[in-house]
Amino acid sequence: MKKIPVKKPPYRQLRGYAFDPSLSNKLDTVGINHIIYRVPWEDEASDTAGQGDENGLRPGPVGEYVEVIDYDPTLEKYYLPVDLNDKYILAQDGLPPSESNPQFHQQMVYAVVMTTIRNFEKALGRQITWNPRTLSKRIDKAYADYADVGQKTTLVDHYIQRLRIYPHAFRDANAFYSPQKKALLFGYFSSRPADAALQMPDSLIFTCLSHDIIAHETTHAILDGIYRKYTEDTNPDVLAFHEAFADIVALFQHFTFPDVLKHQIAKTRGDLASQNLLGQLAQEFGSAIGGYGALRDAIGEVDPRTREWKIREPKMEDYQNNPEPHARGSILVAAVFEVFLNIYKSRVADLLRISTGGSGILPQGNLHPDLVNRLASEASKCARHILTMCIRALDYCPPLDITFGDYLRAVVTADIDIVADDPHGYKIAFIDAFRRRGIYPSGISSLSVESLCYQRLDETGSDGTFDALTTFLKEFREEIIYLNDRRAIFETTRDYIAGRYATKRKPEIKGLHRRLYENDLAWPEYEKLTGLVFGRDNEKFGIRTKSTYGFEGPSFGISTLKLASRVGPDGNISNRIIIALTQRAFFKVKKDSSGKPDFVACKPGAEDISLPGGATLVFDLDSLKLKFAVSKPIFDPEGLRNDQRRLNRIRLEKTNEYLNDTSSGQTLYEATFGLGKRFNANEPFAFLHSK
Amino acid sequence: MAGKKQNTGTKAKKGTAAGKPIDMVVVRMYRPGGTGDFFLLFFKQGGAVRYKMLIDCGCIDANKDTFPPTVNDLASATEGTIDLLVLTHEHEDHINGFQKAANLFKDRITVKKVWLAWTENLEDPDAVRYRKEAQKMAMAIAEVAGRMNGIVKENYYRKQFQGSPNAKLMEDAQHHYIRAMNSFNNLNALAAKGKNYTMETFLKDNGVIGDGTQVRYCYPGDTLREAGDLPGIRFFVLGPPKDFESLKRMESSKDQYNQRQEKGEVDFTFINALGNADDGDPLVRPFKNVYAFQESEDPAHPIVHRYKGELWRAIDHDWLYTGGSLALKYDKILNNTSLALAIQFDESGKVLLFPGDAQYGNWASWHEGLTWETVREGKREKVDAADILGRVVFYKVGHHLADNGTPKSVGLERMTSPELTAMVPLDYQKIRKGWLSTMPNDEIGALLLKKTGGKVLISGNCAKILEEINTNRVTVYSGDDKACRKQNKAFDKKLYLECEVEG
Repeated sequence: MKKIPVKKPPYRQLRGYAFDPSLSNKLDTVGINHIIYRVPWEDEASDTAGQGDENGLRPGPVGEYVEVIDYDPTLEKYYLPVDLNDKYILAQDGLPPSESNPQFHQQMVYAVVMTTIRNFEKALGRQITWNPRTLSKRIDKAYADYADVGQKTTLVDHYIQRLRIYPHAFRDANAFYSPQKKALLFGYFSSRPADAALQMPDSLIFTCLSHDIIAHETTHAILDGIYRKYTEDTNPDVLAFHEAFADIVALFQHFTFPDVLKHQIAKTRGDLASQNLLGQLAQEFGSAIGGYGALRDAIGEVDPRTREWKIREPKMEDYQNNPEPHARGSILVAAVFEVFLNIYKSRVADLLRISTGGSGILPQGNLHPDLVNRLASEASKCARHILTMCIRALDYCPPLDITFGDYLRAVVTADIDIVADDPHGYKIAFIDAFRRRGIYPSGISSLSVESLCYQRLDETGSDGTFDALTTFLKEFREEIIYLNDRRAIFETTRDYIAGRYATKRKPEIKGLHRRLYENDLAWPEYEKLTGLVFGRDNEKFGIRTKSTYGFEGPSFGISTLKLASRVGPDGNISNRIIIALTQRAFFKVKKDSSGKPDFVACKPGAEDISLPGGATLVFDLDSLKLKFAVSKPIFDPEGLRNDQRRLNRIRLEKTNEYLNDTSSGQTLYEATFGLGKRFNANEPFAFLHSK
Repeated sequence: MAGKKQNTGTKAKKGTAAGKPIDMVVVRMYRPGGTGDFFLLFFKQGGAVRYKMLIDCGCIDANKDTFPPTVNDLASATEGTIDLLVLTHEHEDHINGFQKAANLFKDRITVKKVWLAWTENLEDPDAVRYRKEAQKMAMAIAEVAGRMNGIVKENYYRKQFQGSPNAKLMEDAQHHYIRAMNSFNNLNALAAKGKNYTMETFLKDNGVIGDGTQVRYCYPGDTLREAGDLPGIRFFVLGPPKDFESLKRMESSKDQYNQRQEKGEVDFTFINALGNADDGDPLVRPFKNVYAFQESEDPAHPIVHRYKGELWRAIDHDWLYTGGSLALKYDKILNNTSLALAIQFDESGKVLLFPGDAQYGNWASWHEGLTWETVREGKREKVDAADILGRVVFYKVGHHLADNGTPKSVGLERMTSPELTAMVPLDYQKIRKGWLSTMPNDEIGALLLKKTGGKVLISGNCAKILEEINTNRVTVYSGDDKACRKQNKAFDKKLYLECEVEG
């Protein structure tokens, strides 16, 4: 029989809650609480019935990026996995939203996680990978000279194909990403206080049914896959950034659904111009489940006298005075939200004028549905822009020890790198919102776009200093550019960092790590560029000596090597290779007679504190020229400019002070059950979200 | 000092029937060598001791060697008779002395009368209801601690983290958590013995009191007098609140110094899943049984296979860690059951305040419509909590100077007497690690130093505690700081600190 092949659909449509189930119980929101998520289509796996691991979507859902395993350890029971390829389910855009059907829960987490992943991939211009699992491995004697002399084991990163998702992992008003298990754990709990009749499952609240919570936790996982050192609590901003960034993504992703906004815009017509509506909505999204709302506290509040919601005016000391991660994070969320409001306002000003005959003042009565649609679509477009800006800035952030100031510089730099002109003033809006909250990057003289943007380095290395690097980038580009499979990309990248050895002496691929060691003469230039220690006097600066590849030299790591190909709003394509280097300096701290700390370089293990150093280098893929260098320097950058190699005392003192301050920024829960700032590898997000 | 052991009480009763009013209270804060409450009050008239009252006797992490020095001193100082014993609440650091030094109490000290909070009264339906819930929580905490200890025993975490470069640290972190859980569980020794195991039973079991000892349950709003023995003295019972919900109000976002946590309710879904409460509640199942299956029903199911395949990603026990927040909440609820007493000299109206470890809900409830009967300038009058707090000249600082033990507007801000003196039972020699970040609270400490002009007596190392109080965000006047050091220095190396409060 003749058959015309049907084209594969780009999306799979899945029904879900726009907010969370609680809104379905209110008459005025029931209509908008169901939306259709469009997630990238995944073909059905060929072996769904068996236990194999071929590509494709199988019951769980288990797909390319995630595996939903619905095991409830509180009951020691599994819930039957949903098969999204079932024809009846396919025909009705997935199961209908329901609190009492665990298979719908599985569908909902899958839909939101995939939507979040899709947004990241679009903004970053590459496929995302999860944070690999690092295991120690005994060194094979045959390759011993390529490994660090004197070490018996080495660390190997193992590819993690799928993020694991447990929709019903515990009974608590909490959900968290576990970097250890590479998993999202969602809890459920009773909405009723104390011992009210618990027999009714209706009174249970499931965190895995809230769009914002799922998107928030997924973002933690994706961010951990990009910068794994962002879980290291080295300054008061790091964990706050993780929290705030996760919430920004959740919030703006939510605003990209125009249907959600339409209803509210129509309902509260007059408020629109005064911006209150969107802010209030943002907080309502967050308030459904306790702790998450805290991140949006800084956006606005209800006036105790008038009972009306209003935007909270930022104060210059906001950033200074809030050491606790959630409070601090809420400042960043509020700053980005202000950017959104201002841009939205400027984008709809003309619409309002057109619809009011030039006055811009809306008449009494309902808004015209066309106007509502246009306003909602502007808000949604605007949200998408902000979301994209916030995500793509990640590639211009330092690989560790991030501060809000660094992030602001990354947003500005990324925008300059990708967007040619900026008629709506996005960059200025960002700078202004940060400035109003007292967030200043350190080490720059003014808050202008020019000084915030990292220095363009187009000419650096034109004298041939970086030839070794250029050769490497060329080889890497040739191989990576044709790869589509995430595992292949991961493994090839890993080999390009660490090297691939077929025989003892001859590497098939000479890793970047080795090339940087071999490129002996260029070290002063590398130091200037990265602020890290490459000279052979490394131990003077607290950097461990590594003996490897037959050389001795300072220990450093390469935490990132990746491609980003993004399309700007004008259709211009920007292709970049991003490399991130990390290093750690170790010190004993002695107090001098005046009580000021004195830092003496020492070997790892003997240290009182360690200073993390790192640099992100952004190269142009086509010209292979270095475009930007973002640094968390071990050296004092001022000194380096004058050819003086001295330690960065300011960073050392700040880090020391922060790590030794046990009194602020911790919850009682952390103080009681945690091991403190220096050891945060054990479920940091469970701690952050627990009370 | 008074005469022989057996007739101290009776003699006083007869002798002062129309006697002169008590004119001084000497408060003695014992130093058992760690954080805990242990207060002896001498009520004096014309320099002679008429009446002896003991409020709590405990120390965190105590062992059998902790109490003998101080309890022996107590026996001598009281000549073996305590007229009135008050137990504020059942936390270990307030009552374990009666157990650890049970023999000394039994052999050397006679307790004539005991006052306890209404929550100990098994004939009160509200108390029964409270005790049922409290016991559920305590049992759940015990169950969690027990299961966690089992996990450690079977080396679960060693297996789970195997191969990870941080395996040792990760395992240590779990064990640290479990140790913290165990220490919470130990703190709740009484509740785990069942909902009918009251502090009265506890005292009897340890031989501190006998069957004949008179026990009184105190209710908020009560004005109590020991007219015969204590002329001119009355006790106002401030808390614990009779309103059940107040017990759960642990914090207030606006009215607290350095607020760290949001108020939280207790969620019984977690407790329910531990399945050991003997209350007949059916197990909460979130979904109908048709959706669920056990591993044994379909061991080859692809999802089972996937879950069982990777131990390092398993979540078999992670859910137990909700027990940590439960333990913190329960801890605060117990603090809120503190019997809070104000002791007034009728003539001058001066007040000594002993709030136990009361937290926000307890303090706030004093202001919610309660009044107490008293006599002011010869006239019978009803006074409210604001009035009482305004007359406080002695304050036993609540909850070892933690942020949640002394609220602002319903507490410290109302204490305006220029004569104010404070005693702080806080000692870093023995303290829970988790308390280190909240005790002492710098803001309360600094304000107390200012309000008292440095008249703050501290059971532990005064210099160390003052250093902790003097943070960047508060101002401590050097005069107050010096005065405080001087006052405390007088008691260096002594078993106790003392403060004379004139009537």
